[in-house]
Amino acid sequence: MKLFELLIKKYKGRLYEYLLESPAMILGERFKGGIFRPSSKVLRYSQITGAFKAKLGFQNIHAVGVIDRYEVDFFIYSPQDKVAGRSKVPLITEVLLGVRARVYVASVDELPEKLTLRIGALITKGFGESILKLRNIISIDELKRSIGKTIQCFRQGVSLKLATRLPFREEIYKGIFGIREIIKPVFGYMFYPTSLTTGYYELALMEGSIVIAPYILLSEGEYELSERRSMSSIDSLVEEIMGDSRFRGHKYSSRELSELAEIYERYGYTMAKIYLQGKISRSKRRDEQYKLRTLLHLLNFIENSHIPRSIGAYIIKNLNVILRMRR
Amino acid sequence: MGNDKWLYVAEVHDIGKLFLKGLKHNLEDLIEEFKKYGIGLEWPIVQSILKHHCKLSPKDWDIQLYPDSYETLLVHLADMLASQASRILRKLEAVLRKYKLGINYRVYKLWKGTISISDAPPLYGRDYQIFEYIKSDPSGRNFLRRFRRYLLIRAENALNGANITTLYSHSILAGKFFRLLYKYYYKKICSIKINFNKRDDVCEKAHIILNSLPIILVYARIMSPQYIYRVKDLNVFKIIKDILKEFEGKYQDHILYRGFNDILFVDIPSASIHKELISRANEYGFYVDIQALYSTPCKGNNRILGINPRKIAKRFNFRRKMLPINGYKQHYLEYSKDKYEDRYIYPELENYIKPPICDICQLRPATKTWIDEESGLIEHLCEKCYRVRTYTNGLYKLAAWSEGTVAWVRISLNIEDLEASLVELYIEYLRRLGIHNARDLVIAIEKEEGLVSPTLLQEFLWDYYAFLEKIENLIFRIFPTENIEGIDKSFYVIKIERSSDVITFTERYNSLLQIYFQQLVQVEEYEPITLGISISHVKYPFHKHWRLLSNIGRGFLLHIHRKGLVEASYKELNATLQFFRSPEIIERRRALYKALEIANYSRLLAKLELRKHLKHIPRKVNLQLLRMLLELER
Repeated sequence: MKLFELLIKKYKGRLYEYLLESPAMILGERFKGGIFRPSSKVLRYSQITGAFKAKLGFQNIHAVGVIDRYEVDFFIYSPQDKVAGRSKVPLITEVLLGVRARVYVASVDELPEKLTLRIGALITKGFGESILKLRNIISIDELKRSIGKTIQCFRQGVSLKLATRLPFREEIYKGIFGIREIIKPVFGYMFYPTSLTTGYYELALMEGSIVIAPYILLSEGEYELSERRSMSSIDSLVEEIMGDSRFRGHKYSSRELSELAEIYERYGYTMAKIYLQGKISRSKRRDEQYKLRTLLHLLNFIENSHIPRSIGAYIIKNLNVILRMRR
Repeated sequence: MGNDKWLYVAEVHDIGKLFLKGLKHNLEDLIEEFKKYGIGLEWPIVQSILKHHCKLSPKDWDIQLYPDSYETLLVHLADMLASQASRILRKLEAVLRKYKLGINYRVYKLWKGTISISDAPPLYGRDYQIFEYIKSDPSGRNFLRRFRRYLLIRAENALNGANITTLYSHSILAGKFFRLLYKYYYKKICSIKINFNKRDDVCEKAHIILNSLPIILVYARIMSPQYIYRVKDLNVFKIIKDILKEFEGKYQDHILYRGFNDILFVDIPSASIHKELISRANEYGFYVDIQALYSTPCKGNNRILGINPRKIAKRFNFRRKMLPINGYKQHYLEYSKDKYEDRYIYPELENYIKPPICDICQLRPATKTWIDEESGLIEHLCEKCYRVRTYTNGLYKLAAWSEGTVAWVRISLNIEDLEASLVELYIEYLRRLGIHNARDLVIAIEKEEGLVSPTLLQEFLWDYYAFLEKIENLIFRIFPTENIEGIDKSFYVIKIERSSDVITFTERYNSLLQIYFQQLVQVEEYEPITLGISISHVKYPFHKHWRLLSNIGRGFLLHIHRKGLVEASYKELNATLQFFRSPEIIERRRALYKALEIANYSRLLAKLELRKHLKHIPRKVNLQLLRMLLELER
């Protein structure tokens, strides 16, 4: 099988790239016997392809996902014994929150710009609802360039590992997704359904395998430790503020910050915004106006991150300390 | 050779270094003494001492004798392979003239610093002991035991700057290499025509032999695919330990290093001892992460043997051995000269599995069932995982703990980082001796030959194992015995009654680390020894702990389930622990506890709170770690 052979022959030589966002998702692993159910941190071929097939009804479709961001939380539930009408032992399951991923799809049929899929476990409890927005259609040339980038990284000694899970079938991993060389494979198995109730396990190339493939399917270093890097949405917000150059070089008085924080906490975003806009219009100095606009920007930051108002107020009040932490 | 009279004499070859000053340590000037004591010059032990060097054109004051038989040639070859400092010495000699580094017969431990200084070997002036010993132990079997304490302080090379390994490890390795050559290549070497009357010919043939004998340097890590659900599944660690121990016991002369789940050894293509290791590992469903270097003991004038096959391959531009798609299922290594191989070797894998698949490893069809006595839950297991479950288990305490908090504690050693830090420490050592271009010099050596040899690794490991012993004592002093379950000397699970005990343990660990490895902890870039502590409820799944504890990025890792995770460098750990006990913290403790509440929402904001309450925070203090220490004390 030649590189991208099947993609060129059957799928018009292109991969759809979707941006997937899901508020909460449980990507079940086959864990039995324990009361703790971890979630996989990988959007594997079988799961995402299955979800596409179920939604669109197309059979000739292949998809993989690469998760870029998530937070980990836990959900306790107790499955019921339907016959006895009693609850069984409570189970704790890991939940991935705020999942952001890229999904790459090869399809004979045209795909929509936007769609909603249900992925993973406990769908009936509301988990797994994912919105996919088409971001790009990647051509063969772009994919080849992406492989070139991977080769460059290898030459520079950067360790890249597969960030998804694919069947160990040459026509899929090489013919469609462009894995040119397998350097150090990690093997496992993936379920392949043959009907609604039957199926078998097929050999799979697991995440963590060292391969030469399009850069978009790989991640640097220890993919499996991403929970080490995972942070709460508040942490992410604070990091974003710390890294934002607009806040650099301004001196905010503690009085003005306390006032703004109090208004935000008591009356909410709109009132705080009106308060700031009023201040801007009254101000005559340009630098002062600019400084106040940065506070408006901070307010928007906080509002968009959907964190509790009290925490938002706390962040406003401590802006100076946050900015000092950056240094 | 025909009998085993030669088997242990190579270890004795440098005995002269314990008694004599100067380069001439082969006792050739004391031949009359041998006769006086009734020792035959033809005795293998004497031959190995007299003729273990082959110098092409020695000066008058240097060693004159050279190997004049295949046996003495083997001793010479083994000495060359075990020798740490030959290359360093050659490069340093040019520098020496300028800097006059001087002599110190005592070893300098790179990770510890100077231990003592002496201008004479430990048994200087007591030559009679040599002859008494040789007479009493002509086979050489008791040499290492008898002279251990002297060998351990005498540097193999007394030149300041090259005195970084002891004569003890050199003697051990020379013995090992001799026996390997004797066992696998004696016949082959004997088939090479050598004119033993000509010094030039012997030296040349020695060079040719070391450049032509095929060897495989193998670094192997046994990996378990099993997800650990039950205490019985922790058997994987015991099994891995037993496999490695058994392998080491059987092939002692091949082994250069054995760790918790990894091993470094020299394989010979005709012996293929790796097959045994792999098939033993495969019996329990484990796969093996292998790095193999296919080469000869030397490349030109440079020694190949080192501790990191990947780095050696890079140094000599060896190409990676690529396998065809189906080649990944190939179970064993095949020698392919000047190549490097890096892959996982799995047990038999089928292309398709009809359900049910094994719940534990998810790599094989489930053919057995396991019913949990307590919950009645049924698990489907494959033969191999069933075997793991039914292996003799000694973890009775852990099985009985059903409530409460436990801490999984693991100390590990990263060989790759160790090598890099030893190189840094060596540069630092030379700098301290006054060699200003130390880095350039060492980089030049490193390009041609690895500075860190198996000898140096061996030396380090002795101190590391002693350190682990101390840690074990420490754990048993701090925590009640009934609360400690030891899986290995470097791996424990401890039931925690007072979380402040974890702080005490961390503090004592840090003190020991500073004592045992006082130079090593100064290296900023690499942290080869790591301590990981992961705390949770006893029922929290083990593989979550393992995932953290088996991939620690910095010197210290602390994880408290749902409270956070922190990694810190040696310096940060030290500074934070000191700051934690400072009046600044003690006086504000109550306010700081309050500040910790915010950690439930954001770790960054918690750090911010701490910063607000503390006037002066020393440079290396890790606020996240400080927060977690406060959490533990609360």
